[in-house]
Amino acid sequence: MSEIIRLENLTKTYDGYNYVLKGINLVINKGDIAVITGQSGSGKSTLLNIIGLLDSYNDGRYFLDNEIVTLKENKELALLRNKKIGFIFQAYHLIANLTVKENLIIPLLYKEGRMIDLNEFDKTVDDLLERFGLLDLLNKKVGGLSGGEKQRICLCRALMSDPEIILADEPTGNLDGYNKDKIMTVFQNISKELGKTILIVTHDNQFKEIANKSFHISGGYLIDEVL
Amino acid sequence: MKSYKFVQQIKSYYKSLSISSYRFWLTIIGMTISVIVLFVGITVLDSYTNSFYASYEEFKDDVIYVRDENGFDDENIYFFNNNLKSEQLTYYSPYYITQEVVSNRSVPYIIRGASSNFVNNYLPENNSTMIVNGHPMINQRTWFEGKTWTQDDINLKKRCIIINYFGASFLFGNENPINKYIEINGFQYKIIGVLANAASTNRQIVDINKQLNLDNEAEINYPYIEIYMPLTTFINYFDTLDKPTDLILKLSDLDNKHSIITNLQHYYGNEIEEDTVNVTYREIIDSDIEDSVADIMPTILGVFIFVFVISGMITMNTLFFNIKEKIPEIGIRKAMGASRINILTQIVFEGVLYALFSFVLGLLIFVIFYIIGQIVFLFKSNVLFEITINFIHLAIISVIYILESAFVSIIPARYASHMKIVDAVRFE
Repeated sequence: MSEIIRLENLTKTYDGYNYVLKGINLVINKGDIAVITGQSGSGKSTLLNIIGLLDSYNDGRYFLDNEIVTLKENKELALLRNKKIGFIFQAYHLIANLTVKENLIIPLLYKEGRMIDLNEFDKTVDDLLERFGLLDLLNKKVGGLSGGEKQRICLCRALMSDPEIILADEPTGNLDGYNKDKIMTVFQNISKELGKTILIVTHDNQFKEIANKSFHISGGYLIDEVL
Repeated sequence: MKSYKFVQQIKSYYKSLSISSYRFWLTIIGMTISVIVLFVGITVLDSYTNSFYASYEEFKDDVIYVRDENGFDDENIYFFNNNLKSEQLTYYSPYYITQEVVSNRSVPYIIRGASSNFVNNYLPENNSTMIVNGHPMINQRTWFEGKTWTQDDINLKKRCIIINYFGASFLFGNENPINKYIEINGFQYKIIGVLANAASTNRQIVDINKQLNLDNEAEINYPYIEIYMPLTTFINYFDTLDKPTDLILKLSDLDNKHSIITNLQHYYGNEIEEDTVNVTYREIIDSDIEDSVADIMPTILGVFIFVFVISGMITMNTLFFNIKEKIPEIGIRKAMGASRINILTQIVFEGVLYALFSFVLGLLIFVIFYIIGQIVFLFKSNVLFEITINFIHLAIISVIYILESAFVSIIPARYASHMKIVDAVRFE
């Protein structure tokens, strides 16, 4: 399988002295489900943010889909994020005033090009919502949805621009056991059926059950775990 | 179906705005008040200016104002400046020597002597001499029934008159007043024509019943019965006038000055000496008007600046609050690929939207109050000047207002667009 994410000796410091990440080496292949676990403050979210192009790194090299990611222009990074990466956050970050459908169009608003094909958008939305059993929520405001529904809508949103990588930061942190299981099944399905690469940062070791790669981060170092 | 991405972005920004929040509506109310103040300010300025310009609007640019020095009086030079009473501006016409007579009837009337061609002044191709004593105000006559007087009527000082439509309605109801007689100071005058006035007479007709039902005659100063007669007749039967002090001549050029003076000498028995007549050009009167308007300009400008500053502060304050609330949204939009420009556009759009909402609401309220004001003024005559709305000025001030909102939105928008994505998505 070909590599999609490669980190070489990646470091990150916020104050110039204390390093949150101390020479991280990581390889993730297309279609992998990778889990990074670690305690609070271990640097796992920082690592995820760097991989997701939300944050910068200080030293080392980051290859995304075999292209080195440098501190590019803001607009280029924004486009790269839009094209390659879908995000799932613990707090969902859906826009409460918008309906499910209006939330789902957001990734398309920032795609390259001047036009949006609304027919295609409708079709994609219908397909995704049907896949996750959410079609009846299409025109509902997201404010009134349950946590499980919101997180599945987030997944749909992450998949809207058909990215190769899904980055999930504590995706089940706010969910009960039933919804957690549901989300884990969904991750498995999208990896299997859609061939997406999924990188999950979590406290929850249960995710290792669905992962084919597992890492533990501690003291700024990443340890490869054998599953 | 394909749609422009920008259009969908704007839709998304609009829908994510919490228009049901108290803050939104409080902001809109504050900004709407600003818009109304701006509209009122610009309308007062326009109305004030128009009250001057309307007084000689009909003359357009070919007018030459001639003043007889012998009758020169400081009080009367700047008829615009020193006589702002609406009665004068409204009831005195530049075409006639005017004498106001309040009768023992319940409706006052004005008798005016006019030169031979006065009626023709309301008709096309007219380029004739007019005489004025008083303060000019053009009342556009929309139609004329009957006939005007002939040269014989003028030469023989015949008692033939033309009355206004209100006078005809008041005195004769629905009957045709032509060829009927009215008596003034013991003399019978034959009505040969009726003159209508769309600007004021229609209003007078609407008001007539109300006016006639009033007990207190002192309050009845509107409407008037207007009676026009040849200048020679007027001078003969109402010999109470001084010679005119102000002359307004509608001429194509100065070359006609001599013939005008001759014409006037005909009426006034050589009392006017040509070399005592000065010419005042349109530019000078424009300049006088500008001076008068300049008096209130600092006040109006001060109000405008104050309003712009306040509304700008309201917009910025609200947007900063909005941004605080939208931090996670800004973060997620950026994470989904929004660039700084996209975020900047979103916040500026919100600022503009506030201005647009306020503009629409302000315009609506302003127009409603304007209509109410017009209805109230139908029953009042002592207004300082007529309210006129200049829609171009309203549009200009609205555009400035909206641009100002966009401009002040840039500061909070820049703050939002430079927000670190990591901080934004972590914000709870």
